[in-house]
Amino acid sequence: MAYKVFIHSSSKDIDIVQDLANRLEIAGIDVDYFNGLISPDKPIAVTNKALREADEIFVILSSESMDDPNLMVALGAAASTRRRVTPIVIGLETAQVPSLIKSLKYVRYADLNRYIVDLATRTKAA
Amino acid sequence: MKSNGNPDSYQMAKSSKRQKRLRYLVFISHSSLDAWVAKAMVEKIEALGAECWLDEKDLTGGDVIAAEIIRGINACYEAIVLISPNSVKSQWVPFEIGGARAQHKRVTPILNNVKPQQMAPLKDIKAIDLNSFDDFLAQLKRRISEMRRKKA
Repeated sequence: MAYKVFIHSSSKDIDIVQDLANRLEIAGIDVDYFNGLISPDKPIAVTNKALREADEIFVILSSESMDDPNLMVALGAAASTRRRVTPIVIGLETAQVPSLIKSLKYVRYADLNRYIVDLATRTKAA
Repeated sequence: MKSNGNPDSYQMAKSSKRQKRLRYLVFISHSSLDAWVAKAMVEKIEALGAECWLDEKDLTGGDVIAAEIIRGINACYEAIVLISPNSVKSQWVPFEIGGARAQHKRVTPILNNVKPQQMAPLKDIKAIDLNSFDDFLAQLKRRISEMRRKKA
């Protein structure tokens, strides 16, 4: 069964999500995403359902979305259900990255190609 | 605690095991800027015979914060979230909400000078105003009794 990544983001970062989803699909990885546009009143229900089905969660954090509490909710939900969670940080200086994100292993958008190659290798080996 | 063959020790081990089984842990999510209010809530909850997970007493130097928070959530029966002008700006409070709700734990928002809609991830849950905290305590007391009756 193909490795499945769920991308969680704010609706403000939809362009980034679509670019990321394309790159993951090219690498042979299944992608699902939540951009804050689906069921805006029930983000937790949507996130929890997606978490159950995903092998890894990407959470997009940009200058546009760093104040969105739903991103931190998704991180907590992923950590709580023992899913691998990878924050993707875009356009933030290190000092701007929230301490919660710093406590996890995060990937900068500029390093994303290398991470996707590693991910594809890891999933093929599994 | 393991028994060492001594009858007193055996009774103590048995009693400790029973206490652990009947332990009712409440996870307290709050901003560190609201520590005084959180501690006051803890005192009232512990007076009912429950225990509380509170970052200030349960986190120690060198702990990996996110991992310890998740351990606290795993162990709790329910969580309360103190929603205030400080916690709506916090990163850790929504992280804890996500952790508790992903495990389908009961989460009660306690509002302190904010409107329920100010904490978006909890707007589908009935909140209790801090001034009505006694109502929450009465409900909590019933849940503790019910749990202990089932496990006794």
